[in-house]
Amino acid sequence: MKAKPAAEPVFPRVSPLADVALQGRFGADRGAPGVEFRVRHPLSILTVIARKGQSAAVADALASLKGTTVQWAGPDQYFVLAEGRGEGALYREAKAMLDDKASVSEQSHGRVVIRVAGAKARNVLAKGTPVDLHPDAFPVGMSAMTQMAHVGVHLTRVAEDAYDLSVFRGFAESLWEWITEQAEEFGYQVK
Amino acid sequence: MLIPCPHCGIRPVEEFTFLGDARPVRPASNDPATMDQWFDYVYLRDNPKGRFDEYVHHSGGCRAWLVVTRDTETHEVFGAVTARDWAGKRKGRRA
Amino acid sequence: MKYSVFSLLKNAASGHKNWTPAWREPDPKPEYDIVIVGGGGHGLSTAYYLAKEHGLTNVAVLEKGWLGSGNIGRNTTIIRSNYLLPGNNPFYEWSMKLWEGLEQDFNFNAMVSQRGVLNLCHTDPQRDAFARRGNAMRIDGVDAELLDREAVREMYPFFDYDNARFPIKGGLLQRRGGTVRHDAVAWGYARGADSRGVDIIQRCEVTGIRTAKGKVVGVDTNRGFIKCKKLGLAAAGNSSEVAAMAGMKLPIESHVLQAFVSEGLKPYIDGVVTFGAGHFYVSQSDKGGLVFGGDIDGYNSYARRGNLPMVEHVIEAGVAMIPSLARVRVLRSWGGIMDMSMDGSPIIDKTHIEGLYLNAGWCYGGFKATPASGWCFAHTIARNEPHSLNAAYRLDRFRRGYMLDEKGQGATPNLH
Repeated sequence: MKAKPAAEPVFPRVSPLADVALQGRFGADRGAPGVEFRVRHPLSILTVIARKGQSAAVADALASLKGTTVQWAGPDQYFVLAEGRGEGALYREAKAMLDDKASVSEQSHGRVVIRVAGAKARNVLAKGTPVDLHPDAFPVGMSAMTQMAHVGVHLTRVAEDAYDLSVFRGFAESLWEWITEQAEEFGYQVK
Repeated sequence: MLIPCPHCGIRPVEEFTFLGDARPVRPASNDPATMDQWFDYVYLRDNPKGRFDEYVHHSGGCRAWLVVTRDTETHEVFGAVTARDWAGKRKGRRA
Repeated sequence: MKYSVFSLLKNAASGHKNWTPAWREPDPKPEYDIVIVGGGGHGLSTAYYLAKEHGLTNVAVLEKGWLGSGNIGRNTTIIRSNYLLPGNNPFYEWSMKLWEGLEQDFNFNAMVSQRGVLNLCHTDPQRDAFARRGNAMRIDGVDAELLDREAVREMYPFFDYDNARFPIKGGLLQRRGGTVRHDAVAWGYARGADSRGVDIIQRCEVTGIRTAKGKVVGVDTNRGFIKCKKLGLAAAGNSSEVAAMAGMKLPIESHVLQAFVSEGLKPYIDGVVTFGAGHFYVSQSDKGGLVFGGDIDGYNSYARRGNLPMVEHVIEAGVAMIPSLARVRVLRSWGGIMDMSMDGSPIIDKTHIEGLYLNAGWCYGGFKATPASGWCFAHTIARNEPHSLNAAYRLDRFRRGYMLDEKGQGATPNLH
C-alpha cells in the first residue's frame, strides 16, 4: 500500500501592510476626503504567461474563468485576481485549465493590491506615474506596468475614479508611505 | 528622452535599461578559427555619432526587450520595435 | 614671461594692462614631426612632455574648439591614486607624483590641493574590500588609511551614520588625494608647451587621416592638409570618430556623464568624499560651491547634456549620505562625453599603422591621469614603444585576454 502523499502545507496570507495601513482619516481634514485607500486582502493573485503561439487560446481560456478579474500585465502576460477563494484554489483551477498553454504562478503571497479611489485619486497617481491617466487614454479596465517612486507598479483603472495598484510585498510599505504622503493635501481615508 | 514602447506607449527614459549597440551579430560558430569574429562582436563598436540602433529593456514597464532607434548626438528618438521583430527583420534582410 | 611675485607686483603697478598672452595663436605650418589631435588636458600634457622630456618641439596640437573646451573644462577636479590592480596603481601613483611637483614644474598655479579623498564603506564585506585595496596601494608605495566609523565621524560629523539602508561603517582615506583647478591644468600645460616651441592651433578640426603603405603621412583639417611623421590621437569622447578616419574600430563607446555645482556655501566639506553604496562624489570648491557627480547616464551619447533621472539618482545618493544636502540648491549641471572602454581602463599604445598612436578609453577618470597620461604618451610616441608604466594599457589586451577590469564588469562599457 502506497503512503498517502503529505498534504501541502497551507500558510495563511498575511498582508504586508497589516501594521502599516491603519484605518482612519488623515491629512487635510476639511470636507470629504479626496482619496480613499483600501488594501484588498486577502486576494488570490496569479501570473499567467502564454506559451509561444498560445496567446489567443490563453486569452479565451482566461475569459471563461468564473469570478475572476483578468488584467493585462505585459505582452502575452496577465494577472488573474479573485476574492473569497481558498488558499491555492484559484491556482489549482487555472493550472489544470492552462497547463499545456501557459505558465501559471501563484502570487497571492508575493503581491499586494491597494485600491485608490475618490475624486482626487487621479491627481495622486499622476504625481508618480508617467502614464497618461485621462479617461480617453486610460479607460476603465485598462492596465499599465509602470513605476512610482522607483517602485514597479501594476496599475489598473477599475472605475471612473478608482484604481488598483499591485506591487511586490517587499516594496509595499515603501510605496504606501510615499502614496499616502502624496494624498495628504487632499485628505485621505484608509478603510 | 521619451521612448515609444510598442506595448506600453510613450514612456520616459527612467523606465528603461540600456544594453547598447544592436548591430553586432553574434557569430554562429564556436570554432576557434572564428576568434576574430568573436573579438569584433564582444569588444569592438562602431560608436556612431548620429543614428543608432540599441537594445533597450523596458525594465520599469512591460519588461520586453526593444530595439530603439535614436540619434546619439541630439537624443531624438525615431522609434522602437520589439527585439523579436528586429531579429525577424534582420533575418529577412540577410536571407 | 616667468610668473613670480615680482612679475605680479610689476604688473599690478601698471594696472595689469601689460600681461602678455600665455601662449601664441600660430597658423599651422605645412609640416610637423608630430601632430597631436585634441587640445585638452591629455593632448596638451603630451605636447608639454614631448618638448620637455624628449626635446621634441616641432610639434602641433590641433584642437577643433578652443583650448581646454572638452572634459578638462567640465570635470569634478578630483585627483587620487587609489586603484587595486597592478597595471593601474603605478601609473596613477606616477600621476600623483607629477601633480605634486606640477606647479613648480610648469610655473603656473594650478591650485593643487591635497585635501584627502575618503571612500566610505557601508557593509563589512565592503570594508574587507577596502582593506584589500588599501593593502594593494601600500604595496605600490601609495598612502592609504583604513578608518573606522568614529574616525570618519571626527572628520565629517554631519553624515548619516545610522542610515537604515546604508549605515557608514568606515572608510578608506588617501590623504594625498584631493582636487586641482582643472582649467589651470590646461592653461599651464599650454603655456609650458608653447614656450618650448609647440604650436597650439585652435579651431582646427581634423577631417581625415592620410596614410600611405601602412604609414601615417598627415591629417586633413579645415585649415588645410598638415604633413606629419607621427600622429597622436587624444580625442577623448570623440576617439571613435577620429580613429574611424584611419579605418580603425575601437573597443570604446561614448557615454554622457553629468556633473553639478551647488550655490556657494561657507566651508562645509573640506575633502573629497565618495558614497560607497551608490555612485556619488563631492568636494567643495574654493568659491564655496559643492561640486558633485555620480554615474554616467547609461546610454550611448555624444550630446553634452544628460537626462533628469540621473540627476535625481545622484542627488538621492548624496542626500542618503549627507541629509543636510537636501536644503542645498543646485546652481548648474552639465554633461560631458566619456570614452568608455570595454574594461574600464585606458589605452595608451601604438597602433597597427606606423606612426599612429592612440590615447583613449579614459572612461570618467581621465582628469587625475592628465600628467601621467601625457608623460607616458609622449614616451610612447618619442620612443615608439610604451613605457613600463603604460605597458598594461595596450590596445591588443582585449584580443589577448589581458583586460584591466577594476570593477569586474566585463565588456559592458555602461557599467564601468
